[in-house]
Amino acid sequence: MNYISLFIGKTVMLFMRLMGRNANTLPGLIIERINKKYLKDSLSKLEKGVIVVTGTNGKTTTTKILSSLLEGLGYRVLTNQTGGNYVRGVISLVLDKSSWTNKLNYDIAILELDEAHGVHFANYFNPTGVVTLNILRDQMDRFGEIDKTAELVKKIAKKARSFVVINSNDPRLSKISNHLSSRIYWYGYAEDLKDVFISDDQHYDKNVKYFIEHKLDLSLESYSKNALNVKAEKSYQLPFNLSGSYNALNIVAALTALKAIEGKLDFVKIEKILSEIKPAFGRGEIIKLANGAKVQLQLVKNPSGFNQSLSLVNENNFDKIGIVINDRYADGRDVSWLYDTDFKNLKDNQVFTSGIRYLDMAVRLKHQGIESKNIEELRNFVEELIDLKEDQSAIIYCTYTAMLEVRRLLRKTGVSVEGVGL
Amino acid sequence: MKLHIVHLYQKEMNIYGDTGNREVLEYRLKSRGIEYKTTIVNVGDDLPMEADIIIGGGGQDSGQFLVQEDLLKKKDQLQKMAKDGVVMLMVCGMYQLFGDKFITSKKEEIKGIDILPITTRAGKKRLIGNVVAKNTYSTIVGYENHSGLTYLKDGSTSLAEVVLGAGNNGKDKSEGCVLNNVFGTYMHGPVLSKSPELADELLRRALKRSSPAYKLEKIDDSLEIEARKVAVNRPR
Repeated sequence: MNYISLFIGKTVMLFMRLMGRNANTLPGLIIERINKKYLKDSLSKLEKGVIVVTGTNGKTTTTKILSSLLEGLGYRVLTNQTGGNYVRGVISLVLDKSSWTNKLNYDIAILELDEAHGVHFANYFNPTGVVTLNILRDQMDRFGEIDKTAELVKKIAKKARSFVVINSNDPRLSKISNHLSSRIYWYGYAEDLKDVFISDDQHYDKNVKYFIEHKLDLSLESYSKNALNVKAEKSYQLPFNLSGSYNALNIVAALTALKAIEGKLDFVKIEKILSEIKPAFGRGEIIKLANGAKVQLQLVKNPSGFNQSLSLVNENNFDKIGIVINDRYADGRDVSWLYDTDFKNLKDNQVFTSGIRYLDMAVRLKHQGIESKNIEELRNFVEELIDLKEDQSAIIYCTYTAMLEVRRLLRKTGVSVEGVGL
Repeated sequence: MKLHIVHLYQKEMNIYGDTGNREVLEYRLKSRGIEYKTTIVNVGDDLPMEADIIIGGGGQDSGQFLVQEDLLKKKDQLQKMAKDGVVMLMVCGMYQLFGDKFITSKKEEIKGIDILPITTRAGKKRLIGNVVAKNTYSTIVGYENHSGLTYLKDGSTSLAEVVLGAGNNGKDKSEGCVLNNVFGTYMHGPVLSKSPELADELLRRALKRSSPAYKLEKIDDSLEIEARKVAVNRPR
C-alpha cells in the first residue's frame, strides 16, 4: 500500500511540476486521504527521528540553523524550510524526497510547524524532540489568545518521545515544563540582555524584570555585529553573520537542540559551520542590485517580531525604508497589530508604504508623527525602493504574502534574488 | 484647558492594539494644540479623582480574570464618574465588564460594574472578522474577536448598526452600546484609528464639560478616510 501511495503521489507531483504548478499541497492531500499510514511508516524509517520546531517567532531561521549544523556534522537532513508548514506539506515533502523505490535516504527530519499544525502533526506522529522558541503576540485572528497558543505548544511538547528544548526566559513556556515527562534542555539569555528580549507580559510594562526559573544548559551571554558569546560548561565565542538580536537567540536554541540530539557539542566544528550560515527565505536576506546597492527583505508577522526587527534601523543606515502590509489569511486578517508595534524610531527616515492595507500603515505612522510616501501600486513601490545609488541601501518590511509579491516583482525588474528561489 | 486621559489596565488588557485609541486621541489633541496628560492605571493603582476621558481595551481571559476583582473595587468611583459625565470608551473585554455580568460557558457568573445597560453570556462560536457599522455621524470599521454574546437591555442604545460582521451578538445587528458619555464596542482596529468622527465625538463631549465655549476645529483626516474606504471593502 505504501508503495502504491508513493507511486501515485510522486506521479501527481511530477505532472503538476510539468504543468508548472506548485506541488506542495495536492499530492500530500491525496495521500492523506487514501493512506493514513504512509507518513508514519516513512518517518519511522529515519534513524534519528523527527524534530519539531515550534513557537511564534524564529521557526524558519532556527530550523535552517539546526539543519545546517546537522548537515555540517554529516547528517542527511530532511527539512521543510521552503514552506509546506502543515501535515499535508510534510507528506508532500516525504513523497518528493523518497526515491521511486520507496527509500527515504535521510537520518533525521527537522520540521518547522506552527502551533496549530504542530498539534495535528504530533497527535499523528510522536516526534523525537520538540524545540519551543517563544510565545508572543501573533495573528490574534487565528489563534485567539496567547494563553491558548501556550496550550497548543504544551500539547505538542507532551508528545515528545525523547526531549523538549525550552526557552527558559519565556514565562509561558517555562510553565509547560511541569507537564512534561521527557528530558528538558533549557536555553536562554543572560540578565544583561533583558531589555533586548521582551516577553509578552512585558510588552506594556515599563519595569522589565528578568525572568528565569531554571538552570540553563546553554545561555546567550552577549552578541555583537559579528560574534556572539555562548555559555555552556564554559564560554565560547562564535561567529554571528545573521542580523538581529533574536537571531542570536535562535542560534542558541538550535545549539541546545543539537546538544539534545548529539549528547555533546563540538565547538570547533560548530564555529566553522556557523561562519557559513546565510539568512533564511525573507528573514533578513540581502539582495544586491546590479549597481551594488543593497535591499534587505524582512518578513513581519506580528508586533513582537516587528518591534524586534525595527531595531535593524538603528543598527544600519538605510536610505529608504519600505513597509508592505497585506491582510490575507497568511498575513493575519486583522491589522490592529500595527498599533502594538512602535515605529517611533523611524522618525527622520524616508518611509514608503504599500500593500492592500498601506493606508492603515500610513495612518499608524501619521499618529506617531511620521510622514510616509504611500504608493498603492506595489510595482511602483518596488521601483521606488530599488532606485538607489551604488553605495545606498534599503530595507523592506513585508507581511507574508507581500513578501512573495515583492520578490516576484524584484525578479521581474531583473534583479537576481539569491538564496531560496520562488 | 488641559484634558486628562486615563488608560485603564494597559498592562493587563492590551492584546488587540487598543492602546492605539489613546494614541489617536492624543494625536488629535496635539494637532489642535490642546494640552493633555495621560495616566495609566493598572491593577492595584488608584484611580485619579478627576478625569476627562477613560479608555480600556480587550484582553485575554487571563487578563480579564486579573482585572476583575480590582475593577469591582473601583466600581463606585467609576459609576460616580460615569454619572458626572466623564467620557469613557471601553472595548471588547472591558466593554463586557462594564455591563452587569458575564455568564461563562460553565455557567459561572462574572460580575461587571453595571455602568452600561448590557448583559453578556458565552456563545458557542467565536465571532471573528472584519466589521463595518454605521450610525448617524460615522461609518465605523474594525475587527472583532469575541465569544461573548452581548445583549442590550430594553431601551438602551447601540453605538451603531452592523453592516458587515456580527457586532454585539450576531443576531440583532447592534454594535456596541452608548449611555450618556459612556461608549462600549467590540471593535478593534483600533476603532478610533479610522473613525475620526467618533474620536472627535469623544473629545467634543469631554471638552464640553470643562470648556463649554470651546469649538473643536477641523483637522486633515483625508488619510484616515481613505484608509477607511479600503477597509470597508475588505471581505468579512
